[in-house]
Amino acid sequence: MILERTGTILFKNEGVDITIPKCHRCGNGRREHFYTYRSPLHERKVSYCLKCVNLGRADTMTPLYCSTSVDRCDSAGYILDFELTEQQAYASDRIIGALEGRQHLLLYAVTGAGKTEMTFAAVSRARQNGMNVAFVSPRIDVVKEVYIRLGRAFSGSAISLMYDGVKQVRGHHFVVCTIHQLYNYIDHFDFVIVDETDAFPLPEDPLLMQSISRACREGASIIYMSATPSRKLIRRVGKENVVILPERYHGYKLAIPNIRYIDVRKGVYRNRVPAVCIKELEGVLNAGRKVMVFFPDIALMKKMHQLMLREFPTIETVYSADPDRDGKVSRMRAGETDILFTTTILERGVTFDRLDVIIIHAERFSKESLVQMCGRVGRKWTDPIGNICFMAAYRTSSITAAQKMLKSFNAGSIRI
Amino acid sequence: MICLYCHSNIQEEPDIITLFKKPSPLCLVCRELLTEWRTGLRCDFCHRLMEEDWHKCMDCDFLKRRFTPPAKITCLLEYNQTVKMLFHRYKFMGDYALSEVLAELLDIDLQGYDAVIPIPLSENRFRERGYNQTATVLEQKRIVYKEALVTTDRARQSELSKVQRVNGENPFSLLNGSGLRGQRLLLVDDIYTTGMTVHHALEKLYTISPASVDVLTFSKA
Repeated sequence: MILERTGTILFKNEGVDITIPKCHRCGNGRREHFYTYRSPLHERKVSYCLKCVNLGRADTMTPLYCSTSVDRCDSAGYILDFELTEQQAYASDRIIGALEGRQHLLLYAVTGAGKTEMTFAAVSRARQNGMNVAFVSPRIDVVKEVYIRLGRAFSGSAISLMYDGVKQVRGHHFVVCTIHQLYNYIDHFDFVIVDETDAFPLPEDPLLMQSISRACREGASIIYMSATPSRKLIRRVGKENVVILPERYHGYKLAIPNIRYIDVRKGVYRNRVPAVCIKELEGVLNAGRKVMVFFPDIALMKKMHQLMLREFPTIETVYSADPDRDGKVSRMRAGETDILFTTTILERGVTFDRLDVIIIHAERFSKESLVQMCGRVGRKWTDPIGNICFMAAYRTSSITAAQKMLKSFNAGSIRI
Repeated sequence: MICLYCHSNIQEEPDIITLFKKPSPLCLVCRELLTEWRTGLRCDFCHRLMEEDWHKCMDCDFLKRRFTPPAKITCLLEYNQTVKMLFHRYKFMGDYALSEVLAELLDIDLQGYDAVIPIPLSENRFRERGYNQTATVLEQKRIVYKEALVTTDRARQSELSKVQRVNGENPFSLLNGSGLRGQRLLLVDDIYTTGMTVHHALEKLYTISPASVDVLTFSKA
């Protein structure tokens, strides 16, 4: 069923049961995530769930309504304007196999393997059989990008898009959304694809992981996709259900990072930009390429931006709360910006042409982040290799592990 | 303790000050995002961000022709993306907890005022929302206020264009103005956009001839 305000069936008399405590919308049960106040209108105490307040408040005085799931078939024809590589075709078959065998599957695929396209055949098959399909991700950027790609391929199907404040609902049969939106579905989907399974906040939030299985019907098939899956996830689906795809779609190897040992922060807080940084950036620009520079925190990024504006007046910065975030990303895509300073928000789901990557203070990132950031380079046919530079104050196990992982992807010897 | 804006855990190092301080309902990251102001030339009266070719603030200039302006406008937060989201959740999603966040950021000296008057909410809107968003913040801060105004129903200001707002009738009327004559008043509103709401309320307040009226808004759009 689907929890919605316009529903006609009473699901619960009260959205929140504060005595347990439990939120009937999102399943939240931690007392500190409920807020209680005295309502001046009702003249009594009201408690509501803070976790899912963005989806419409669940509280102790309003009933929760729902409507039943209706299944509908769709011819779901799709167009793919290129041919799948051997590896992609293999993965596509495995996904169809999982769908028919009602099993879960983990696609452990290198960054830039063309994961989205591998799912098309299975999505089409599922929709033809009247199954409800959801394509979810914890990242809004990924959701938007996937929606565009699916919309282009499945031009005859009605696809719903939901994230944050955006709601373009065209039936509940084929949905692209953030994982938070799944709180509104119970026993509804038969086929769920989770992209970027290891991205924040999914691994940290057991409630979100639960919401995926709650939104699924019995016997549903869940496809997890990631370039950096956690051990826990591998254990969850079982080793025999992991498909490893070590090859990028264009067949070229991943770029291996160079490491330079330098403490950028030390210089920056004395108002000096390390000469190495300037040299690196100049090198990139002279080669006619673009560069994304990753920073571990916003403060350092802004400081560095100020200091480098003299040498490079075209630098742009972007971070999660930036109001012009989309604008800056599209200017980078259009080639108007050549140096983009960013935090980890752009570590996934973005593709730029002729890109190099510099990671400042690489010792402060996790292995997963490092691998994802390295995966930004060489994603296009026209430019399959790029350069990556780690600037680290010292070596950490994460850096070593990331290098090892990239190398074993290249050697095709990745193991789980 | 969790941050009431982002709901993440707040871990504060226990030292001699934080041990005895009331815990903050806001984490450092959110506090910084909420209190950020865009740089640029601002009107020194209403704090509006001005276009480069303006010699004076168009909004204030326009309002001055029709209304008597307040003595001073104090503005708490810039209407940036984060603040916008905060008000959306607070006013339209029923996230009452955010009144604590606004109260935490409310930093004003009330020594110079005899009475604090929040902008009222119409009966229908009150029923819909369940609380008066302005008065609630004052309550959280334990500020005693006086409900001197009432308002009749009207369309949401945030759904009207500027022209519609200007041509609208004054929706406020005085409830009890007695005792406010000759006093120093502080009028409190949540968001100051074009200033129409505040100036309409001022128009009514001036009829009881107070000594002065200052305006406090939580955010300037």
